[in-house]
Amino acid sequence: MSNKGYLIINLHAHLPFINHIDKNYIEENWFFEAVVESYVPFIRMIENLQKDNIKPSITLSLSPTLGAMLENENLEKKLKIYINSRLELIEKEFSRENDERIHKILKVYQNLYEQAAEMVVRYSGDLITPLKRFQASGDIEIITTSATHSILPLLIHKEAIDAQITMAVEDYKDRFNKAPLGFWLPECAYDSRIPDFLKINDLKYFFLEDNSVDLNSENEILSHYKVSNGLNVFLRDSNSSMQVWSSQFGYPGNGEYREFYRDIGYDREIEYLKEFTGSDLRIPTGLKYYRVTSLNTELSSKEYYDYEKALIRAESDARDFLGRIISRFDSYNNLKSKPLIVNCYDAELFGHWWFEGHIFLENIIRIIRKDRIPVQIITPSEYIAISQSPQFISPQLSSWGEGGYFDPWLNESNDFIQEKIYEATEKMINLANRFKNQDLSLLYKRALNQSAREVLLLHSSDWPFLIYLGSHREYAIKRFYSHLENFEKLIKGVIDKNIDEQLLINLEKQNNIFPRINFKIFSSKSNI
Amino acid sequence: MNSELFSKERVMTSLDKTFCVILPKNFSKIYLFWKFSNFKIEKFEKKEYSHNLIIKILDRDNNTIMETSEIWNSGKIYLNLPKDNLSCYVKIYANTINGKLEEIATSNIIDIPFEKENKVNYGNYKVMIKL
Repeated sequence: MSNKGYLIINLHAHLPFINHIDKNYIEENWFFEAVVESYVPFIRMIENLQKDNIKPSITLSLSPTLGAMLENENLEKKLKIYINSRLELIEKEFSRENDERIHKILKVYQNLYEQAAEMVVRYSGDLITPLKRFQASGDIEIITTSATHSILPLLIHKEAIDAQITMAVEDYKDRFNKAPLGFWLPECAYDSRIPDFLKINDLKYFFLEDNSVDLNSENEILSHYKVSNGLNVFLRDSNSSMQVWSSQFGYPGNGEYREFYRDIGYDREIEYLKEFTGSDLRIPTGLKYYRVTSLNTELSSKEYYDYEKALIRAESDARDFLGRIISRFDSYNNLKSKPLIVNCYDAELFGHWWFEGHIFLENIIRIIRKDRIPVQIITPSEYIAISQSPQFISPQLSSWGEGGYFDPWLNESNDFIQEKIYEATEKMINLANRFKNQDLSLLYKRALNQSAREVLLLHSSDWPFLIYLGSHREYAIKRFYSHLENFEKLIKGVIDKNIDEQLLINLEKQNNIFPRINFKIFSSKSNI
Repeated sequence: MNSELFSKERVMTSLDKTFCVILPKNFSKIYLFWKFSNFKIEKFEKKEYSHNLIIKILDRDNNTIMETSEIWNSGKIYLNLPKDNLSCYVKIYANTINGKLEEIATSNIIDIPFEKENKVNYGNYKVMIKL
């Protein structure tokens, strides 16, 4: 049966760059939790589909910061310790709890952490390796995003936008031995300056929120577009994305699914937990025994989770999702081309927050094949190859964040960072222009290169977002000011001709992202 | 290395600049921040400039679409725009000791989008995941 239309599924994987040499921070757990609950299950899902000769055709946008963390030896060592601590906690819970229902859940977690441990060993701690293989075999398409996940429209200097995109592309080439075809705009944040910078870097396509253009009909929504410089644009369909994304209206809110918030980290005695979490604070352990039950049920009244029932639910939700896609395809009546639905989600939604998310996703892919559902999952570059004469659009300023613009990253709680970002970037550009044609000693080059790393890290969208949320506000502020201080010290050394080499060595070790960076990426160029 | 070009004084001077920047917050609000060079700060401190700045928002054709005032060293202000869907920039003026209005800073130009139907708040999920 020929397909009625196409479905693009893009998972955006990103975490802020975290690499603490000196001590452990609970913020490192973001990475460990995401590896165990989201990235390893994603890799296993693709492996399982490969074994059954099913091509997933999923698109994965992998941020350079996360890419660097997935290859980082320091984090690899800490990840192994984290996984072992959780396996020990699971053992202890087995002996502490007598309830058979909890034992059944603990077996699910034991399996999850053992699989993570096995995969970390199998790939020598480098989870980029399987992703690279999946891309080489044509099973997934990996794209990039700005170097440190900066909100590009909030960068005033064109040199900064160029540096963020150029560095991301160079980093991708180093990691995947080829040029990226597509680009994920962090938070889908767009302004009209951006496409030209993408084009200079030979990128072929990017994604936008569907509120970036004024679309009136379903036919217009389910189409593929170009912007004036010829770059392809895929509009994220907020309607079907919502079905998966929302805890309130979407699938993850179903009562059978695992409850995210009720974690034994908040139920057990601190002294008991401390041995495993290494923290005096109440933090999530990843072990959660309860199900959503209903959205109105108090956390304390949630019922025990039943994994088997959740699996059945994930399959029926996958069928429902596909049914809705088909009915939208049926309502499409443009005879020139088949409809296209573009779904984009944070990769960490699947597994970490929506525990059964990968099961749902794998079900979608398998059901299409098994039941001959007339939907074809396709990557953007595959779609571009078969698409005929897309229309041109002029998108406006937009994002997929709260309110549809930039309010989460620019408001009274976090606006103090903007002046500092502007000033540091201005100084970096000034120094890059001043020194770019000079025959510098290696020490000066290293100091300027590290300065460029620190400025890129200042640009990260994570700091204003975490400050805005309030959770981890202190950590975000501390990180922001540490990069600013590092930058100021380094450039003072350059200007005073008195570089603190020990400081430089320490920073090169800690903030070691973009090993081949050249400070000249911040210089002004005639073509931008 | 050209030692003249890289003298500390010369580099420091090049970094001591006045800037005035606007960022789009949403379809109806912009964020303006500014910093004056040491030379200008001295003028404010010596009262050669009045303490209140005049801030004008102009469209791409240089028509003033809004005007307000703000104390010179507050360094930032949110401005509500009278309309959406326009390109705009800001000029900052100070009154001199002679009573003349002197332009002392100009911002970048930004595009302000038109107002759209309010989107569903996806931020909830992100709030949850980072906790």
